[in-house]
Amino acid sequence: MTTAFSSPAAPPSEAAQRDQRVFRVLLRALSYPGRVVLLPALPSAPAPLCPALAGLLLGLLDLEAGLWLTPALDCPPIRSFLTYRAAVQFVATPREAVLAVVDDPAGLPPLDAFHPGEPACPERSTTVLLRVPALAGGPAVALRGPGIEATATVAPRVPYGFWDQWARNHARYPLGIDIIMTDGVGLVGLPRSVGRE
Amino acid sequence: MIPNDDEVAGGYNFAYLDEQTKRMVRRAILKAVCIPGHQVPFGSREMPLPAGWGTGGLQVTASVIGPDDVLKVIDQGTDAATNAVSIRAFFRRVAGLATTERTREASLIQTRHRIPETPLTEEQILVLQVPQPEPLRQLVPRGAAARRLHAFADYGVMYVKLYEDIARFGRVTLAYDYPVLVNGRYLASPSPIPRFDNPKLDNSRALSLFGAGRERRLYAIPPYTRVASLDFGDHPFEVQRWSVGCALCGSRASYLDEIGSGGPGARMFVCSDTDYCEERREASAPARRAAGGGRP
Amino acid sequence: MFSTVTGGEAAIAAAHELLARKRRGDSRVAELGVDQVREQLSLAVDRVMSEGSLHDPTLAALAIKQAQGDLGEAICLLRAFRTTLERFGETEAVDTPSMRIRRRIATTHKSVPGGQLLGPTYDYTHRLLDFALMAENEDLPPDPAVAVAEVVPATLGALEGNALLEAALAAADDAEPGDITRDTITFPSRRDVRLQNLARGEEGFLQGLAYSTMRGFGRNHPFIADLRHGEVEVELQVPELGFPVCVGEITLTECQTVHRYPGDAARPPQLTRGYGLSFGQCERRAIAMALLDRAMRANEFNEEAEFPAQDEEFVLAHSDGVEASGLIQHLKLPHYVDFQAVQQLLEKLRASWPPRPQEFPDDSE
Repeated sequence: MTTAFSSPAAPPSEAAQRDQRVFRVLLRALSYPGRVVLLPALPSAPAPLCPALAGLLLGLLDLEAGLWLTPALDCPPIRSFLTYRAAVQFVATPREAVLAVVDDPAGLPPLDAFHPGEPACPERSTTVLLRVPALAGGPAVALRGPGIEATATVAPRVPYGFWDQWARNHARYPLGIDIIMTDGVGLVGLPRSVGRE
Repeated sequence: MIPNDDEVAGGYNFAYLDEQTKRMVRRAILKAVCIPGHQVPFGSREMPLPAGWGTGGLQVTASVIGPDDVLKVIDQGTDAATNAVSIRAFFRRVAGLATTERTREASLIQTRHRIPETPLTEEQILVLQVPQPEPLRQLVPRGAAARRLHAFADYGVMYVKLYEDIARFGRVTLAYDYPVLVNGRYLASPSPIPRFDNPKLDNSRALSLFGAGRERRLYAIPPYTRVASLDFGDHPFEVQRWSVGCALCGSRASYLDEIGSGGPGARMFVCSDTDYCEERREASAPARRAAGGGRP
Repeated sequence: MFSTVTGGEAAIAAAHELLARKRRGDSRVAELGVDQVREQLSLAVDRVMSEGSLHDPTLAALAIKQAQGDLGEAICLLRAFRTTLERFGETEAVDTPSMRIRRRIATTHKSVPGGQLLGPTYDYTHRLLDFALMAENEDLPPDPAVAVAEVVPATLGALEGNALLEAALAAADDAEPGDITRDTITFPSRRDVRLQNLARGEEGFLQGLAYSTMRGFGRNHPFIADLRHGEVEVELQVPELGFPVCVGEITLTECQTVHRYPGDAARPPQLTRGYGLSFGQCERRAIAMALLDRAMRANEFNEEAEFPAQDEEFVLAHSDGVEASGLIQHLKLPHYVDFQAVQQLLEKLRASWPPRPQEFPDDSE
């Protein structure tokens, strides 16, 4: 059994280590919704894609996950950056997306424009990566749900009306979308299971 | 323990799986966390262990783990069980990872059939190996039919089974793999842990990930999530109890294994969680520990 | 760095040591070479390649040597290796009508275009032990230019173009073929997905189920219209070039069956199709696969699917030998925690026994 295993180990590549650390931060953010979790070291990316969104994307993308870019980010340099790094499949509408990237809350499509999954397969939904100006300083909202011991208060800078949309998204549970918010430094996870108190 | 250079394998990627596969498993894990208790299909790969021997847990661990992690692997509660030894050796070989037998020192714990007695923390992740992720399988063998029931949260068939048990036998006849309702929505298998361990899943501080490689499903119970073992008002859920304590550490709060078979009257029980038992014995014998009798 | 050795570790190390000795056997007997396995146990190699889902005779031979000839174990080894391989791309569909034929038979007609070619087969051997082989001095002239017929065109021989025959499926370009190594099978399943599953299904399982259809548990009246074995070219589409290039040759066995079908409201009585394909020379599995392919098309033909071989979830969920062998053998792992729980439950049930005479219900897994 062991003859194949003889030469010394190759340590994980730098990119593989970064992907793993990014994943753990994502996992923590979605496991403990509402908490700000700090991002690890990030890759450089062509403007206007910020390193935080680039790191999250490279950590999650491959051929099998359709990606929708907000129009502001959908430009040749970003497309070729992602294609070169991760062999991405781009999709034309938010509804087809496994992953969607929005770099400004003002450009966020209505949440019901994304795919909410199907009753027997709620996992076939869109995960939205959303860059916000700041994770604090916006309207404060108390969240409740799995991963939250009592309540968790968050105040990301999101447009007026976002939290009403979120309440409708949560009401469709187990259907619905999940959102990862980042201000470039930290992450807050907003799984569909979590509602406004 | 840090592995020696000659334990570590070349020729395979870090933690065996290729990076593309890890990204696929990671996406499935994130979905699973967002929909607690829902079985997420994933493109399970063949692993260099037989299917049914923890390949699901192995793929989850391989996708989650990084060079900074400290891994503990147990089977039946003990690090010394042959399959636990084999899986631990696998990760030392393909990931060059540090491993431990101490629950408190581990950042990632892969387990089969038990949840450690020592309460887990927010800094830990529990990975459970699951042979059959579908709690309805014995009642509704067809996957498509079971998925429809999950879609409508229609779990009447399970309540009927429990009710019939009580009517016939005065109690529910499930001793382990006792179904739980997660976050009030999805019926899930806690994996074949004894009933005794079910309450540990309720509002745990740690994330629990469940991997079923052969059945190509994984699911999650996030921390601070309601996990209710199904029961009835007049027949509340009960866990196993023993009339004696552990013969080694005296614990009356842990799951016990029967050892020896000296016939009735000569039955002896010890903790199934060997690290918990050892820690208790060390704590009660500080002198011995100071003299170097404890573990390095 | 030190490492403590637990009882389990020592036992495993000792078991591996014993295994290595057992594998080697009596050291006075020459060690078996991987090349000997590949050349002289080629049918075992073919089966391991088929169920291992990897066309590599040398690695399959290594797996057989390493597994002491336990083909199930060898298949597990090859699959676990395969899963670590990087994907470079997807090949074009192989063109079996242009197979370079080593063997080809058709049973529906006395003579068919392209002719019958018996080739290397045990079919008409007498199953008598050949004690001459004990002597190990079998010396054949170096690989004679054994008849390798050139292209045998018409896939279904004389039936092609016959109005009785179900039209072949539309070209594969109308839907991307599924990939059971990436996606879980959902039911109802597509035929391409079923065929992929069967192509690496456990041979005994496929054979037993196919046999059951012939004994009346889902009868579908088969004839072998074309059974062929030989080499085909594998072509890979290279985006930079814009045309497919040949990257090598693989050996295949293909079986096409036709099945009597009485028709329904929408379709006249006709011959329907079953299809089997395997790496190497694996005729039994290719035929069994074709019979099961047809059996699982029951819904498509409005047949009542009442028997195991017609039940796609039953067949597809249990056909994989790697998975089946794993779960069966996992019973060898310790189960004493659950057993303790069961024992405690039985003691409690006994204490209140007999409640009412009833059968004991199934426990869960």
